[in-house]
Amino acid sequence: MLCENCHQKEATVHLTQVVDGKTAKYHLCEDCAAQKGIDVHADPVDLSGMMENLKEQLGHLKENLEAPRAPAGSPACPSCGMTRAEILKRGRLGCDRCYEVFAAGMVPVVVSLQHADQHLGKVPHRSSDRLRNSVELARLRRELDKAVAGENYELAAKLRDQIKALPPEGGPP
Amino acid sequence: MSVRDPAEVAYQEALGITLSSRIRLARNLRGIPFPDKASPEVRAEVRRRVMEAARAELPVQETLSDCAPLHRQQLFEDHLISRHLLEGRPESAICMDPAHTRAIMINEEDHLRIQVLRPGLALREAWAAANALDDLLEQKLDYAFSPSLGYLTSCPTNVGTGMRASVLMHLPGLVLQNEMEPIASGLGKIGLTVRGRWGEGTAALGHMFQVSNQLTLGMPEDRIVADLEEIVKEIAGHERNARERLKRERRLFVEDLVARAAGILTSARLMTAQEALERLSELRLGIALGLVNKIAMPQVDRLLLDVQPAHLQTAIGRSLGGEERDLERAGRLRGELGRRSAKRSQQKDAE
Repeated sequence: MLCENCHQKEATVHLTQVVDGKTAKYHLCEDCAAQKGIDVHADPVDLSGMMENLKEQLGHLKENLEAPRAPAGSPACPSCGMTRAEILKRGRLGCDRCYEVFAAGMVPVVVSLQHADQHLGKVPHRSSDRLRNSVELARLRRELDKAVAGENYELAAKLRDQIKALPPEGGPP
Repeated sequence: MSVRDPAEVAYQEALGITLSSRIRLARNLRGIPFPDKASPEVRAEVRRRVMEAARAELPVQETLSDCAPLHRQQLFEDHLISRHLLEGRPESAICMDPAHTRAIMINEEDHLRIQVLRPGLALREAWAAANALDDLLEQKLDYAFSPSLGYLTSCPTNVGTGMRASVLMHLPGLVLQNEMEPIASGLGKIGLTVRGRWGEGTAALGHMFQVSNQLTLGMPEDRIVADLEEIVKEIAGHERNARERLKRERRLFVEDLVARAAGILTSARLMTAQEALERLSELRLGIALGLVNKIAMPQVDRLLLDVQPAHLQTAIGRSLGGEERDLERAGRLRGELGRRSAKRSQQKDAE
């Protein structure tokens, strides 16, 4: 894969950014990444630093949630009554719906804690096929990115076939 | 698996260093507030539903608010319930199999905390068992799940797999050689965490540490388990090296340490739980180094549990005050380690 910025060198830096709950992916060469101020040699996961950052992140969450333009909708979760202030105070959510209601504030927090934004593990067997396929698709795409980055084109071709074999996204449930 | 199988040999070698493996899965029921936010009636309904779903597999079921504090303390010492449940969270319960190797905590921070414990380094087996139990429960329970964030949990540090895999390790070599701090900070950088099994930080009582994954999202469960197992083997290798160096370079120091531990354990009249754990750990190191041969490691491992307050009191069938406990504990240790070693040496003499 070529760098999306200079279109000349091989893209070796693959970055996923989450802004306002929207995920954007970048594939850059090292030089372009450095120009954009991305430290490619940084430790991928620095947990102690991460925990230090958590407080700061919770601060951002507070800003996100309190800002008048916050797209979080109603101030309390309609399902459990949890408010933004309570989530901040406890560091805990009230119910599964809270993850949707406060998504704009929560997704960046999850990403900063977990260094990931996509579940790639077990899916409940009773889930719909569509849901199962969407996790499987995310997993295969991740593998494909890795295979391409590692120039393992044989594996990449195999993964591409597997992806094609899955029903299209948004298809019938 | 033959004894010469390299995997089996590695496991045997690591046995003294890795004591047990644990998998914990956090699960919640769809559309129902998490325990902290639910009403007592809703928590009671969750408890009823989970107990019902688990009954066939985990028939030993106890409502924790109904049981005696001493019994709760014992479950806590056995690592079957958390400190939260020890302190008596409302409408909490535990479901176990008769062997106490698989359990579910109900109404902890999440509706369900599924746990599987296995001796030694056996994370894959523990994950397979936890996964199978989860499959069975899922036939009757509808879990809160999101295609992007996976299993949804009360705390965002658990979303995704909801899985915490951990291994209990005895690392006296690394502690005595002052190598624990850099290892702990190195583990932090790769998304793992190390905590004292008893007590906090690297001053862990009895040199017992819990190594576990910190990240739960973005990796499939078998990857988390395989990665952790690799790292545990590596730490065990460092521990073996540290022990070798102790024996080679600080022989007198370590012989003295172990001999003092054995002396205190077999002659003290009063012994606190903390001191018992520390001296038993040193004795355990002595056994691993071949400095003590009259006592077997499984016996020490059992004592590590038996000297704890609730186990001690349950064994004699009544509750004891502080000094009475210390007296009973010291007597128990003298009896076990003194008598057993005497019997063994008699056997040896007879041979």
